[in-house]
Amino acid sequence: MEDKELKDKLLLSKLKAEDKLKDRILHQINAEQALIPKKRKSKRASKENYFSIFGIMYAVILSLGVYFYSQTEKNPLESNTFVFSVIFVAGSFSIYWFLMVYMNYKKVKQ
Amino acid sequence: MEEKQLIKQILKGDSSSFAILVDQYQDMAMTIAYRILRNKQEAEDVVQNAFVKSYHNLHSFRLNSKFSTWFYRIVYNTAITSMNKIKNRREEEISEHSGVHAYDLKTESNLHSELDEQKSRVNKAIQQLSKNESVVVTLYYLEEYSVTDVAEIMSLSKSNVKINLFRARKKLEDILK
Repeated sequence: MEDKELKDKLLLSKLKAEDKLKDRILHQINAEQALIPKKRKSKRASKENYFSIFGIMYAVILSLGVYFYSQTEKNPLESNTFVFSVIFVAGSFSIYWFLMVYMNYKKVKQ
Repeated sequence: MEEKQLIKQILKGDSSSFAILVDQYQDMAMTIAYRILRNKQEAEDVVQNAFVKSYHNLHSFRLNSKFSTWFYRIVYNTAITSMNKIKNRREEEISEHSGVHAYDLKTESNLHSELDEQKSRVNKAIQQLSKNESVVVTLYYLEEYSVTDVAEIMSLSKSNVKINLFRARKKLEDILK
């Protein structure tokens, strides 16, 4: 049997994909794609939150340090009031950040 | 539109251009998957997975190579993985599937016409080949790939492809003469 004859015969066995297969493929790709930007967006938003919240926190602590130093002219770390104020500020900002992360997580899950 | 341009557009985020690639390659992908799995439903699932995989991994495709070779390799590997999973899960059911397949082929084709009778003969002949042999002849004769390309798609050596091709040709000649 010649190659051409064999090829002609094999052509008879070539399958034709059903029309709905293409729709299924494109639907899956579009569905998966719709999910990806959402995830990226929420990740980016939580990163921005992280930097802005803790940025403000450090600015507040720094201004507290400057205030204590200008009032007492001593090392602020030696003052109990300063240390407790710093703990209070850091704690409040951390709780706020934690709540933001938790709310973001709930939103993405929904 | 040229294939490379099409791929560049898809990489830029135009997923609708991917439909053109699906149109172009789905029939051959079905044929390859079917040769390995010998079940239409499973072959369809494999083709769907292979297209989705290729879409997500398109960034790793080198534009200076042939898209079809790269894609058929994904189809082949996905089909082999799927076949192994099925084998491991339910070895006994495989024989049932091949029985269903034989029935499908018979019912699908109208045996009254000469062309369909010939089709049925060819399908039966291909079923008597090993999975590798049937994929090799399909790629070599239907897609007109070189032995090197077939070897690349199937991760076989060139000599192995040649042996498979020789055996398949001989078996088909014996059955179809």
